[in-house]
Amino acid sequence: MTTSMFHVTDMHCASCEARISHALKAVPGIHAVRTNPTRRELFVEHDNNKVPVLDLFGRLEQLGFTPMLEAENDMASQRKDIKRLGIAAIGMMQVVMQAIALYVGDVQNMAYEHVRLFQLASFVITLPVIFYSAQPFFFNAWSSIIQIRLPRDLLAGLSMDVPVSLALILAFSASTFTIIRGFGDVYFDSVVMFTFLLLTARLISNGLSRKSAGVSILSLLPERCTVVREASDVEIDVSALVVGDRVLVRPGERIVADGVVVEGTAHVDESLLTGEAHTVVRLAGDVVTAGTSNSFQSFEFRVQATPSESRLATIERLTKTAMSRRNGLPDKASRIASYFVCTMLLVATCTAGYWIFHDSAQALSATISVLVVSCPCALALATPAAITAALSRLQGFGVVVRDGDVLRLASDVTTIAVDKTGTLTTGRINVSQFEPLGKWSKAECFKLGAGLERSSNHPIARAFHGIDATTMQQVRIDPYGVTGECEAGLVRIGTLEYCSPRADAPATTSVKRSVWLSVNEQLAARFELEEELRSDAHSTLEAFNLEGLELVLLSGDQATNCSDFSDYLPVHSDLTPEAKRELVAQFKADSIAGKANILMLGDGINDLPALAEADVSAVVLEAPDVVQSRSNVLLLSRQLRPIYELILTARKAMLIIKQNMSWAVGYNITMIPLAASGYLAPWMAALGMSLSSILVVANSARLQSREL
Amino acid sequence: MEILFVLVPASVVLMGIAMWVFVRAVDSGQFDHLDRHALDMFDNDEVHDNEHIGK
Repeated sequence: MTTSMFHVTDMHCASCEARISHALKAVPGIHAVRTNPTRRELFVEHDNNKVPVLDLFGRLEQLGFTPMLEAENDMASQRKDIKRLGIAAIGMMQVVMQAIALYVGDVQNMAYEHVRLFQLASFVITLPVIFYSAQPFFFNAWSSIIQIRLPRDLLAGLSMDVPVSLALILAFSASTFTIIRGFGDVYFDSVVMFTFLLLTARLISNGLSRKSAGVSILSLLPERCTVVREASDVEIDVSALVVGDRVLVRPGERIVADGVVVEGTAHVDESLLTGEAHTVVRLAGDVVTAGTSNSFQSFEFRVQATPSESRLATIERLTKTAMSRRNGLPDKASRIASYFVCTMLLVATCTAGYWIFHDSAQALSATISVLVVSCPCALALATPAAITAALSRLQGFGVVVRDGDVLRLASDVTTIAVDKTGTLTTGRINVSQFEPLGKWSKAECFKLGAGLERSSNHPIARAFHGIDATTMQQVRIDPYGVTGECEAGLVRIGTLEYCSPRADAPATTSVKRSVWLSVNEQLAARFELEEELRSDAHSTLEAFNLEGLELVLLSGDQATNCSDFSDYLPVHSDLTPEAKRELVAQFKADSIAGKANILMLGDGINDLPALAEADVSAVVLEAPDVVQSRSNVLLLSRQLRPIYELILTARKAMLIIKQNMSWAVGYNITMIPLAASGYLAPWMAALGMSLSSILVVANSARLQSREL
Repeated sequence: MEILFVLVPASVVLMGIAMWVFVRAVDSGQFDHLDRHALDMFDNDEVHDNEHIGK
């Protein structure tokens, strides 16, 4: 089963999308069809033997679309769109001006020859607009009509451009007929205005889809890089990199591929991946990742994965697939959109029929207005536009959402369960308390400890780095501690048993983690350790509280290691995977009438049961694949801020979807009767319809702003 | 108002020219990447050395 992705630029509305799904799903060998209308992307799961990719291309073209495999070929179609829009704009300016002259002339009894002059001039200028600029509408409409085989295709298979084309044809033909006959009304102004406004709306929503497609993570990489060859350094295009190349990275440059450091020391800013801005040191043998940036010194690394195969690219692909998942809401909306077209044509026919019997002068104008004013675009765009904007915003915070339904679930979250303390801590361990157990002073003990821990990079050892240290000989790092020799004798630091195997354990009342120091197997001191809290931990917790979100720590770790945090949040420790799951279930049950959702953040297989139980399951990228595939949110860094953003963005997105839907429904209910009763001139209808679409898209774009 | 019979056709012709010029402009790539040139100042272009000024 192969999944092929197509970029279909002319799939600009829900009814286009519905037609494609409808047509493709009927083909044996095609297993599933998923689309993201706002990004113009189409994913088809198909049996490559029965339905090869070329076949899919052919089918899509038959339906009247232009599928492309790469988004770069967009430029040609973008130019065409701009040309069409420009011609329509220039034509519109002239024709509307002449139309105003005609309207005035109507009142002032303009001479017949002058009327004819203006009408003829309008006709000539409208020609390029209707035959060139409006081409896409006719093409789409025609393609959707000719592929109708069954009656039910009529319901689901008609493009939204059918009523549009109908309106344009009616208006243009009637006007041309007037020219030939020598008397009557012309509607050229409606034709050009409608074409122009509709093309504008399409270009804007195309631009939106391009923008969110262009928030490509890969576009962050520079285009050129320096490769070290035997003779000299050569600057090449990043696209020409191969695995095994040796790349030189200077201070301030971005690392262009995944690889292993071979020379020099890299001080890397990995905020792209982890969200943490302080630099990390990567020595020879350490891994560096594409997209991160280098500071301080130059270094060289050997490429292990080219940009397109890098971790970045994987994230990019995950995001794209995530954004394309079908979910309940847009599905319903696009079904409504297709029935809408059919209904609209019915209403237009009735309007025409009614007016022909009562006052046939109004018939044409009213019918055109009805066809033009009703806009399912707002209905069908409302949800996808908001969801795409939300997902795009979240991507900027390092949150990859697997499907749009997650937003709905996340908006109702009130409790957040985190698995590890890593979300609140910096990872640094500090010595918080000192207890002397022998005759050595505090300073001496620290010096001894520092001397031993100098050679270790263990988190506990780091607590002793940077202090004055006694020089140690014969330093040996063991699983439970470090041993060394100095003037004072044999010094050990580590667990109690390690330091002094024969000593009785002095009763320590502390519940926190400790390391002991011994000299010649006599206990000298006890250092109490604590994990350093992130500087923003308090403000983060406060922010959560303000939003009514409760944070809970569910840990499989011992109580001693979690006790630091009981001051800040409810802590449940020593939990088995099953116990975690039960707690999650209990939280869900406790909530008021099951309305509150719970979000679980995990990173390991022992979190799976609890993750499955939670409403929203979030995992960090380091989690094993089996965990990632069972969760619906991926976090690029283990921090709380992205979760906060997820929930707030989800809430805002739901609000905006409601706003959009209300507007769309209200607009259609008001405007269609108005148009049918003849109160709306065609040009007013055109204006209203386009403004309505733009309003919905603009409202959704609010979700993209940095601050909500 | 006879002048209208000259002006109106003239404006139609002018519109035709405008459309043609516009199409040519789009084809020459003027409207591609409208945002991109704003970012030009971040490029590290070769510094034109000033040696030749004295010569």
